[in-house]
Amino acid sequence: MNSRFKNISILGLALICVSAVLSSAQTGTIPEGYFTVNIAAGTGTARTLSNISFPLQGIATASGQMVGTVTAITSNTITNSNAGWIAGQLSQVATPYLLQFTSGAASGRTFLLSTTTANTATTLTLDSSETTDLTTLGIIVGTDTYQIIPADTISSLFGTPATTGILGGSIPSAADQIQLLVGGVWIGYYYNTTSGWLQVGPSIPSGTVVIRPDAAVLYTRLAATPVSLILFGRAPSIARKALVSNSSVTYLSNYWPVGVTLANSKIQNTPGWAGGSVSTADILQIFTSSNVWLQYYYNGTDWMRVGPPINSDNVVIPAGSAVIITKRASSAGQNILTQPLPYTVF
Amino acid sequence: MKRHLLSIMLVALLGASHGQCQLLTGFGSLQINPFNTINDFLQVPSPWTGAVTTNSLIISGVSNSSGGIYDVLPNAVSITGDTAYLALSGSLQPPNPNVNIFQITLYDSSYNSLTYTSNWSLFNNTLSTDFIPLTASSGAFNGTVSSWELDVGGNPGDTLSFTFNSLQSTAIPSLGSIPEPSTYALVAIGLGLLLLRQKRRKTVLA
Repeated sequence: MNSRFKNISILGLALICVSAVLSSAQTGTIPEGYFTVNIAAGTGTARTLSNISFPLQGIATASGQMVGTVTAITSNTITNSNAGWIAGQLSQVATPYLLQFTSGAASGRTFLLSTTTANTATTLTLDSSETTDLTTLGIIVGTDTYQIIPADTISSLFGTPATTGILGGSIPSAADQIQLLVGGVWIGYYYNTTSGWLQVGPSIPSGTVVIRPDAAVLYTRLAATPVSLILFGRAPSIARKALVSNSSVTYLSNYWPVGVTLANSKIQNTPGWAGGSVSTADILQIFTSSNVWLQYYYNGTDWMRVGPPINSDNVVIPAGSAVIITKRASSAGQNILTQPLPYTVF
Repeated sequence: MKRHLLSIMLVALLGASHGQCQLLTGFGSLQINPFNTINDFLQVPSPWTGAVTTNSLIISGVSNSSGGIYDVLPNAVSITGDTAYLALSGSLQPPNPNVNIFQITLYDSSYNSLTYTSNWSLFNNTLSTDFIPLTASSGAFNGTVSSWELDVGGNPGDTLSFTFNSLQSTAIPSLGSIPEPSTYALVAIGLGLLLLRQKRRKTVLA
């Protein structure tokens, strides 16, 4: 299993807390270390919600060039003629991978690799869920670079009751539950003590469901104890480009292991973002430390609270959390949100 | 004379008791703008559904996709008593939401605030009053409530249906039910007894 979480009890003293390193806003190397994800305790009978994301990138250990230069592309493949990958190693269902462009016009775009079309020694195929035509992204062959990152899955992130302390159960109502926004629909999952991770409802085995870096998880904890999970990895070192739906809901992670203010999030700069009056503006929700959702909108100049007209430019999206974006438009498709690094890597 | 003094003290005590609880809003049809769309009048924006009646606010919806409720009071209320608790009268219709927490925030005209945090599990489907403790504040609240807000903590898909009847500031939750017209009734009874005693004394003396 490609587990990035360990129980806090095995944390080694030599590890570096990435958020602490980045709090100085400048760092000489890309920090690697750990980030603590906190899941609040339920009561044993009532659930408590935690809004969590995973702001460190895993470090790939597969063979071949995990960082390299693109030598050819098609609509859904990239080639590195010098890659030296082991055929099929980057296409395993249990250990999926992501491809992220790290320079050029597509820098910051991230794509899931296929687990049904095996990689070759030199070519990677994108997952069928990726609808972007790579040839439209302005990628310069022979110049632009990429990195390969392990993709998180439900199993790799949340493990089992024995390994992480999550609460499993024979039925969903007896277990902790997580919810992911998949294709605009909220889908629930829980750890079945007989069958492992299952989708709530149809009971589909779901341990290998990918949780993308731009996505987040709503975790409802039933057990009366909190869970502290340690995420190992590397802080993002380039600006990200994330997809925001043009209509309906996007559940967007805070990609960075540091908090980001609404003003600095640049979400308001997403093409097609509706600002202006509260009655027509797009809405963003933040889950507060007191466990309720507060709503914000961009009035064209500043972020404001929905309700009391309080300037909220400096409201922080905490590290390891996420926002829910609700677009009022009804147009199809997605737009690209470009977010700059909130710290300097030199 | 001694008995007169006792009666006066009783009246004073009742008056003090009443001062501990102060009505902020009754949630009835005279309330304006009960939702977060400014200047709407008795509107229930989707996905919330519901209505304002003569004495209550009845709401159903899907909790965290609904946003909160924000209400500018028609007339600001100066709190003369304690702000340690809010007494919220209302009821919760089944099914209970999966996630329990909600909070109510009081704002003054400069949006300094007092925030009170509670759990839906304290309510049931019959009218009851629960005391919600102050859990946070922001700025220097000036003692006058200009607006209030409800925020919820649920999951997408959690349904939530509730009725709010009154919101009061209060000091001592162990007092139990909130003095309403009954306070004045007790005062009236006390004065009535006093007058009756005076009358009886005059009759005996005669």
